[in-house]
Amino acid sequence: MLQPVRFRRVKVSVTQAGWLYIVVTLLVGAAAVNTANNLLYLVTAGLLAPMALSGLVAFRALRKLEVEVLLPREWFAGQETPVRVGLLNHRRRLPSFLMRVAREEQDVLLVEVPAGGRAHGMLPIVFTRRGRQPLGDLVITSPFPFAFFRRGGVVRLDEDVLVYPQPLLPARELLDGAHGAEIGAGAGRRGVGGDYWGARPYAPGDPLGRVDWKAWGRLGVLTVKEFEEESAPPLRLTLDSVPGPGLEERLSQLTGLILEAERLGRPVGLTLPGEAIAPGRGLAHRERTLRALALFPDAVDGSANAWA
Amino acid sequence: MGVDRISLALTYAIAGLGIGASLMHLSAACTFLLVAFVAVGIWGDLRGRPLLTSWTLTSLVVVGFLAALALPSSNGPIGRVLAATIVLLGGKLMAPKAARDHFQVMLLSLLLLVGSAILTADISFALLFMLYLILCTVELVWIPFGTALRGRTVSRGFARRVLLVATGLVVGSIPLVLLFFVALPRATAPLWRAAPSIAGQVTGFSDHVSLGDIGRIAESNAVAFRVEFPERQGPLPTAPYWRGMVLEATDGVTWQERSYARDAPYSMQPLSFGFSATVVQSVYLEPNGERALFGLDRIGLVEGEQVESAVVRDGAAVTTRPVTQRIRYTVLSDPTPLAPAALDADIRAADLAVPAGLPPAVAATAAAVVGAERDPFRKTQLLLQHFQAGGYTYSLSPPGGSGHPLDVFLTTKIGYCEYFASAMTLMLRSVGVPARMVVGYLGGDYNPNGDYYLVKQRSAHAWVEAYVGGGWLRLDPTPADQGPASATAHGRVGSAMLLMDALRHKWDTVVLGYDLRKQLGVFRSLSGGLGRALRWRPGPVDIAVIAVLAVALVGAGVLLRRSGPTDPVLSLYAGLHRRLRRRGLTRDPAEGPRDFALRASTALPGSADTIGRVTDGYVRLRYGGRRLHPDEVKRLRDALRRV
Repeated sequence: MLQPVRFRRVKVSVTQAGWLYIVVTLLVGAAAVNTANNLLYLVTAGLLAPMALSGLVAFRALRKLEVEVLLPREWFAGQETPVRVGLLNHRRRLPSFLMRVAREEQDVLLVEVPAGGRAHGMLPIVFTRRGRQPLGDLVITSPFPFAFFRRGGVVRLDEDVLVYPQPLLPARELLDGAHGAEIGAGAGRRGVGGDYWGARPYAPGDPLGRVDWKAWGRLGVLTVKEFEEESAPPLRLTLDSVPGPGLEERLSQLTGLILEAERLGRPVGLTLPGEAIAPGRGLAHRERTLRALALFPDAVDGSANAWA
Repeated sequence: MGVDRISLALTYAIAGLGIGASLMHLSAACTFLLVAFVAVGIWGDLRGRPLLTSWTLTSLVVVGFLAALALPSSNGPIGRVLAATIVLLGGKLMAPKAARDHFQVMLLSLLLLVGSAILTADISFALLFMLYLILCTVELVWIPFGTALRGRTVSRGFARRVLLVATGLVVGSIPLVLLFFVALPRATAPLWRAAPSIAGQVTGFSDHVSLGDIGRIAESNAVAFRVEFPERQGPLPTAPYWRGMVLEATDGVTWQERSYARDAPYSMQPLSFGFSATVVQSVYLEPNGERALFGLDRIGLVEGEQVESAVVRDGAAVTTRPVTQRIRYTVLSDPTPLAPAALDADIRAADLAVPAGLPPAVAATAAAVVGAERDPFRKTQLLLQHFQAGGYTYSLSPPGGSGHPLDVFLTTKIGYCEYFASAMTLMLRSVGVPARMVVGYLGGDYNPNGDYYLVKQRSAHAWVEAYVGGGWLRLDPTPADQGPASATAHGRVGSAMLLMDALRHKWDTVVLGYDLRKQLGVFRSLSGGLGRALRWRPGPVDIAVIAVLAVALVGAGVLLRRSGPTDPVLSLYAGLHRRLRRRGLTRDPAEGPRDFALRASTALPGSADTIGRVTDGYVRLRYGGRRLHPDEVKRLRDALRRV
């Protein structure tokens, strides 16, 4: 996403060196007035001028910027995700230097954003809660041109992101137990998606080993052979399939199970109050199940109270 | 390029400036130590590890600091502070350097610059300070990079871009420095004035004359004072006599001022200003520790804030306090050689007194020269002729002798102006003409660059005044072609020196002399201009001109706005339109961008992709407010060329 950098107000904070500089300027100025020594006046003027000018330059160096955030496909709550964050400089001549882009506790330093160019860095971002979350505020500051002041402000990113629950793996036997009936039977809908698995078009994320290369040679279309295997029965999950104790823990454990099943290549079905997803595999399916978990209403919602 | 190396190089350059500025105020031992400090520092930085342990260094700095404060300095307390600062700076240079150390070196260096500025106030400070500002701006810009990129290297191009920004800051700072300098509030009366050291300053002038006191007279090129003539231009027709003091009391060897009754009001005895020949001068007097205020012979009036206590008597101006700092005052003079004046009986007696113990040769020579002449004026001319054409030689190092200095002078006929003036004054007195000695300066360099006279210490002079015909007549017995008047250096070196001195004079008057009065003048002229602008009642022609200008300005603004597209996508889309129009494809006013793109793509299937992407970018900007990525813009621009 691209978004112009517009600060509601530019904040200026004085650094330690800045305070020292101010004190020295005041001292020399006081000395100048008290001695009527024009050389001291000259020194005072010489100390004031770059300071005044630096404000102007710093102000200009914060203009005509755009912030760019390359959002990852998936976010999981509680997991630090490195996000590629960049600044685009639309000015014709003046580069931006030493731009610090910070979000909450994390930050990234962009040493130079050249005029008419851009610079990127990796900014680790953590969301603590699942669900639809605003991307939040970026604090963009720079000490440029002098390290006496940090100038900058807050950019509220317009984009929302969907954060999946933090994946937690419940006890191993839950997954192993999925061979049996108890998890799958819990859903009571065996047979909806499990009967026929033939050839289907290749989707990104499918293991290359399953691609029907002969068919590709024949037809020029990538297809995936899907075998009905008794050794990999679909995993049918409900909120009761995991130990809990609370709703959030259950959602997290379900997330963990879905990711683990995906890794093992087992189809997963998910049944939540108000939503039933037939067992399946592939990225689209994974996204669908995780989205359902992410957007599952909070404990406040009456229908979910039973698991709170 | 190593980031740390750049920081170090800048820091050493700044330290070098501060040290360079204060070097002339340091003793040789201090200088030697300092060089050693810097060498140790550079060596340590080059090998990446300090030579001294921090404990050794700290104790060294503490001892040095205390010693610098305790040891006597020829420059007083400021000299001690300078020396102590030098020690601290040396310590900083020898230690490993973090960002804060670079900053501290800058501060210490500034302290050294300021300290030496108080001591000298020379124009060289302006140059050093300008260099300091440039280096400091670069270093200040660099410090955050040095901190952020510590231990890394940067490309030459990157360093150049940072330097470019720093240069812009420096260039932009200069008008601001001037503005601040002019606008910063000046005080009416400063609380404390640093007394500049006048020790070691060579003055050719003194409020008394002592014959044979040769050491005092020096071939010094030090500036005594500078004189501007506000009401006239060009050099004076003859070498000017700058009056300092009138010496009347003598014992034959030393001369000094007559003692004036302390409480008695000075009989001002104003000069008979015929106002035919009044000359106004602005004098910029260098500190010399003396009380005389110089001006063109003879002075009638002295004015100036710094010389309020000055009195004028016998055509000379004297302050009550010695001049210990550069002062400026205005003098009104009547340069006619004969100034009518009354002569009281007691003063007449004093000006005729011949001290006891005077060598008989003085009176004898005078009697021989004057002969039977009765007219006082003729007597003065005969004596003058005797000295100027009687085989006398001007020399700054007359032969010593065991006898009375005047005896030796009259025998060897070698001496400098004070010998000539003493001898002639006493001779005049011995033949019954009231006479006195005047000390001051003769001549000086007329500086065409600034239209002023530069008078150096080497031009110090002494001459004679005789009371004839109801007034005081100036007589100069020193041979005219040999005295200080002939000692002006010209030629190429001389003109370069004069140019330099003109700069220095401008510096003294414009920068150092800028005070509350001048500041008020600047503000007044500014507000005067503003007031005139406010009172201005425009006529119909003015209104027409203003209207045309306004329309032109607005039009230019609109045109500029038109010609400079706000977003590259807009210009891309305009470019697409231009190219399509060449192929006979024009967008109908009622046709939407997407419809037009579809029609164009059908007509030019080869460019369908580019047309679609540019249109898409345009639509996204126009209706979605989203911008294209610069890289995409670049790609599309290239693609557009192939449409």
